[in-house]
Amino acid sequence: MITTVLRRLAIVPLQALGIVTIVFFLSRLMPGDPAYALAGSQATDEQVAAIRAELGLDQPIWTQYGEFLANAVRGDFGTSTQTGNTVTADLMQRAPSTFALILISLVVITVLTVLLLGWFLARPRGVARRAIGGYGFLAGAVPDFWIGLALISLLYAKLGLGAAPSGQLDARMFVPDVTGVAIVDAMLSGDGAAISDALAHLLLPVLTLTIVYTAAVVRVMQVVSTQTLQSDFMRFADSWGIRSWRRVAYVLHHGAPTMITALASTVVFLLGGAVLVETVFSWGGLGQYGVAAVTQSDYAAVQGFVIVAGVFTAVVYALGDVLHTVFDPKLRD
Amino acid sequence: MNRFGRRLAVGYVLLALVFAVVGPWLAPYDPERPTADVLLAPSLDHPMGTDASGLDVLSVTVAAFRTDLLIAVCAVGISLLVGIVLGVLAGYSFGGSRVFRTVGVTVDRLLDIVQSIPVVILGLALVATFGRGVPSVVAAVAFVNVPVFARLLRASVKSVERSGMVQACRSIGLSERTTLRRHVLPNSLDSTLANGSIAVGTAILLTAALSFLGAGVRPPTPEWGALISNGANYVSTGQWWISVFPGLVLSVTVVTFAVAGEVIRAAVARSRGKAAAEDPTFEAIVQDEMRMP
Repeated sequence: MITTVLRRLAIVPLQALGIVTIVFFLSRLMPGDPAYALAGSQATDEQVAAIRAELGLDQPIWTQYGEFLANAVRGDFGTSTQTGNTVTADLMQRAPSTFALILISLVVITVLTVLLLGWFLARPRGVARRAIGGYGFLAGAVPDFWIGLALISLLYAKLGLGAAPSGQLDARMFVPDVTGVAIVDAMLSGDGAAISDALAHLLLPVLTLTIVYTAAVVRVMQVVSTQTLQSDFMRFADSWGIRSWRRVAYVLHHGAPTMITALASTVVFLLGGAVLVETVFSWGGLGQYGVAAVTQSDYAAVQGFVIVAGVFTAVVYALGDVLHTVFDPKLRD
Repeated sequence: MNRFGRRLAVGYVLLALVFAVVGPWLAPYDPERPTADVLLAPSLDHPMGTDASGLDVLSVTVAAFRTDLLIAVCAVGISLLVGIVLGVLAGYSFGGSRVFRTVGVTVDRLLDIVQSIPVVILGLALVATFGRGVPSVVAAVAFVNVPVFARLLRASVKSVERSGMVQACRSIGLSERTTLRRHVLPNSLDSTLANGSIAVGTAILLTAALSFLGAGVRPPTPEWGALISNGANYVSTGQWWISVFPGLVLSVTVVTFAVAGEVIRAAVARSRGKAAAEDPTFEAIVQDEMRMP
């Protein structure tokens, strides 16, 4: 098993290399000369040549690629034109709030999936089967940013639940910035009002991501559970007359490795969803930074953001596969 | 989904295609010219209300069928063509040729990497690369969809090649090219083409997402995502109609294109005498989307 795990983990650096390579060559596909774009329309030829030399654009493409790769390995993605800081510093500052959003949503999604599965398994032929099927079908078609806006109009504007879509904490609240995640900072400061405000700001974004991304996990688990219910060992267990709660436990246990892989994919979907949901709720994380970089043509920041997202994805899939191997007795040797 | 639901969906898809052609002329008001009727709630004059610049939401939503469907259909067409080429390269052995084997493995790995980046993020990066505007949105959406088609085709090319058919072709001395063109491709295109309709739906979703983020189609061109974004600032103060109505139309369109895809798939399977699977998307999700080992 250890060899399998190590072999799987060894692929991650290769994938990271692939992502950096694709990002580099995509950036060279860009129409127009970045030196001209940076220098502005008033620049003289000498100024453009100076910028070109500074960026290394006068070097052959393989030299540029080597340089880009070496910098990426060192974690240096250049300077952001929108903030003036290094892209790495910008990303590090914003990453915790995005990861917190993803992690909290993942926990809620996992709990909800188990509850829905329990409902389904209690009566596999009942209403739950069709309800989950219909939900899964619809959730794949409804845009996450629109769900976010619909929840704001329904829950916040009409019913007064949650908080205005203005970040992680009300502007009038103040907590010392320790981790970059408002809810954690509020808890560290022990300020009750700040904690409840941060929770109110979490409600709608987490609900949005949960509604959209629970569907795929539940559908996969429903398919797997249905197969399990028809398996020989479940028929054998039934013939012994086991109690219904133990049946549920058996099915869940048997589906656990699949669920791990499904949840790993969900984390990746959540990263994509976070880009949109952060924009809707002004969350101030990685996603919003990436969007701002694109709309303001901040190329260094776009590259850094895409590379971080790609490497994060590669790591998550690898961890998912490793956990799958650990939890699946058939793959243990 | 029962028979009535499926018919309804196919009917809506046809209607959407008609709207894509004549939508801008059906719109009761000019979808691009602001008026003084600002932020009006839905009424008989304006069934979906008006936005902050006085545009009639219904008119923009109806006119947007053309923009969204045009982008989605063009993008899916391009990615279908590229995906078929890459899928054949990745899936077919060309009689065990070593060169094609290397090419195939390389294509496979590249598809893996491209598909590992979340769709919205990749789309954003591509729009940043190609510059703004409708053609670059088409290019970005097409690029993102290529791996989906390439993988579908790769899988079916592989299964066709394993069948006795290809061995029979080889045994009578047909060239690899003829075998591929006359026997392998026609037998493996089914599921890939049926997926085209579903892909149009997801392409609309991505187009709208990019426009919503300000990286896609920009006003005054009527587009659903841009319209939803246009209303986003007013939702928390209670003017819900600007964002909610176009989102509903968008979602219904995506759902019906997916149902229509299933209908096509089932029809093709029936005509070929295969038993239509009860719900093939389940398997597709388990294998493709969730990257099951």
